[in-house]
Amino acid sequence: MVEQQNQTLFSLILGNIPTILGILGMFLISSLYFMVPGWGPAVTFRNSVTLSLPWPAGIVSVLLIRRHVNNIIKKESTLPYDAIVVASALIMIALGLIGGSSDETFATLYANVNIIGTMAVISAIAISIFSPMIRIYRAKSPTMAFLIGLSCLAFATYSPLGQMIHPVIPQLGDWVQTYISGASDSAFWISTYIGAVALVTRMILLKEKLKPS
Amino acid sequence: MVSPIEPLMPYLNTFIFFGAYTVLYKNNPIYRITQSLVVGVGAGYLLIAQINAFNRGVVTQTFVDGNLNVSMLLPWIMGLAYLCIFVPKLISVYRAVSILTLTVGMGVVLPYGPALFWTVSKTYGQNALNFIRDGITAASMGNLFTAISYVLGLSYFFFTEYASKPTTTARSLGRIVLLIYTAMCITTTALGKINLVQWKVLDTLQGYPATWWIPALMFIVMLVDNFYPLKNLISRN
Amino acid sequence: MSGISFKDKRWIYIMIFAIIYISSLAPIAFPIPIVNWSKDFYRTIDEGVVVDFADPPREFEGVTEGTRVFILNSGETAKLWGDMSEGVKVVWKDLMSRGAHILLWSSSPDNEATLNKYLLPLMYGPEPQNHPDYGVKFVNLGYVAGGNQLLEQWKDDLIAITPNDAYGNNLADLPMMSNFNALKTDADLMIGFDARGLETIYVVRFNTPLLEMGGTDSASYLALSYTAGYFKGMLMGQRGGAEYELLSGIPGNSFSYLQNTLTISAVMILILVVANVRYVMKQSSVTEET
Repeated sequence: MVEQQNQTLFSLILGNIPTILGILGMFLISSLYFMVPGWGPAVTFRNSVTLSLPWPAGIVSVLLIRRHVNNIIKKESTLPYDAIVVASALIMIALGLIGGSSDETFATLYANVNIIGTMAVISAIAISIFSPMIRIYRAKSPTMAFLIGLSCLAFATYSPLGQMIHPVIPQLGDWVQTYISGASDSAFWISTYIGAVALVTRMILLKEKLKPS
Repeated sequence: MVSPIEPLMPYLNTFIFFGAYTVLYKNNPIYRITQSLVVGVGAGYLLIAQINAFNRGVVTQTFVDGNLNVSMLLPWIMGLAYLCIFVPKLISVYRAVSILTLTVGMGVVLPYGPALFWTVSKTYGQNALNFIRDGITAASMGNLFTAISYVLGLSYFFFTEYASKPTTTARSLGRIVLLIYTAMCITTTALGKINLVQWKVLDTLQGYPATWWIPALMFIVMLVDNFYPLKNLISRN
Repeated sequence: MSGISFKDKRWIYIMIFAIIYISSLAPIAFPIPIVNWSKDFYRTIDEGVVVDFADPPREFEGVTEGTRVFILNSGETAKLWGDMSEGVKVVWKDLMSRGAHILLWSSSPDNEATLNKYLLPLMYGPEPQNHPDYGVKFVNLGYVAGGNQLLEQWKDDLIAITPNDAYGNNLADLPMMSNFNALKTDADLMIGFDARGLETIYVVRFNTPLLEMGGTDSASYLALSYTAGYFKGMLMGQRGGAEYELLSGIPGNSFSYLQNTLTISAVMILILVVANVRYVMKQSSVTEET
């Protein structure tokens, strides 16, 4: 019976070695927050991990390109668009490898395609917010009426309109934003952080495992 | 030195920006081309940027004055271990190094939770009593409301699973606090993103060369397509 | 052949674009109220501030000749640039005119590329590294990977972990960096572009004065740190830029954005009110019929 219990404990520890090592490492790194300048080996370890971060970030790009190459090989229906993705990526890689990351053509293509494109996509999605606001915002319940009222207040506050109607309007809007929105945002983030602590506690109790996909 | 393709860039820039917007009309080839270019150029650039970052941070520091810098060995080993993601037999090496990175990331962030919780709660708590010192003003009442809203917001997240009394009222009021936050967020997001469009519109009108005709042309094409689908031109051939 | 239907939601987008184009063609200046966090932002740069989270308190006397300002180009700068551009430009101009020593770090390649294209050429010419101020009053670290982990490390020794700038120069050789290394003590002021996490890394432990800039909607999530006293001021969106232009007297282009937001807001409020009045009237007529 005792042997069986020992075996169970042994297998439990063995099965959770990555989690146990992870927790130990995590507390080692966490301790640096409270120590200035910190314990040498832990600092070296933390710095090394930071310095190696370009690898996983670079691998994400490689995996993305690989996915589109596979689509081309399989002759998916998106083939012309996959070809554009792969060709443009390869041109950028060639430019970067030949001329370095400061190459003018390399830099200007990125700024004029990727930066502007990402900004456009983000703003296009956000602008589509106006559409449901116009079509769906109806006072079907007290909650919706409250939501519509607050939206009008925010519109009046964050444009010169409120000030033109009455100076109290932007003051009220700013007051709500500063004191109530700010507080609920605090509550949200702190709940998230506390949730992370709860997750670590569950890991310590071996109810969660460290297991990357 | 300026890139030889630089004169074309204002046109490409405007084409990409408004090409992305054509999705609001419908999913169309201009949008798909724009999307593919953004993804491809971005992937290529990011790969080179990461190589450059590793080169600056590690490669150039591995040998200093002809001597091996031992502290640079670990980033090399970890970096190479990441490559095992491409070797199915060595996938556990990749997993091990991912766990290490995750561990360090969580270790760095872990103290922030209790630290932020303590400092925010303490500051909100102290400020809530400002009205005793300052009297009833917009700011002192605001600080009092902040503390109350904060507690209500927290109660919504923490007691969601406990539907019974005595937390019901607090959760309901917490929901109102979060509703206020959501309403303000939605509106400010929409207004903020409008500025992004105007920033580009101003560029097409005031920049050199003026490129306002590109979105105008796109609009005309979409208008024509709405009445006479342009894909008919292709299918008839 | 498709016809025109006024129920088609694409009319909404056409209306929005029409408003933006009209606002851009004929901008009019409007009176705007200046919010407290913008006033505090300017006051911190102009007059200074006391930060007293840890003992002893740190007294910052405003930006003057030689003040070391660390600018964190992190967060969503690349995606928000169209909403932050004028604010960042006017603040940067002000810092330069006051003789600040500016150290710039970008947390991601897209953030770096955004400032390389839209800001640095305006301030320092097409090759910032060849500008007379470079290395003396301005240093660009470029993109360095690591986020908050990196900031934890830089608090003690920046040059040890990042020996080169964005252009390959040795940081140790640049005159400005001679007293700009351990950020916990050497950074007199930090300005984050939508940066998060600095409160716990720097402010509460080392009393570093911290200001924040972001897009219009950034206020929703950054306001918590302003109300809690970690941020000593915030400048949000193009409206923030217009407010700073008013406060500092430095001319800029922020005001052209306000007409757009005014018109959009007025139209949206009008639509919401009319649509809801119609809805309520329709509901009451249905109730009467039944």
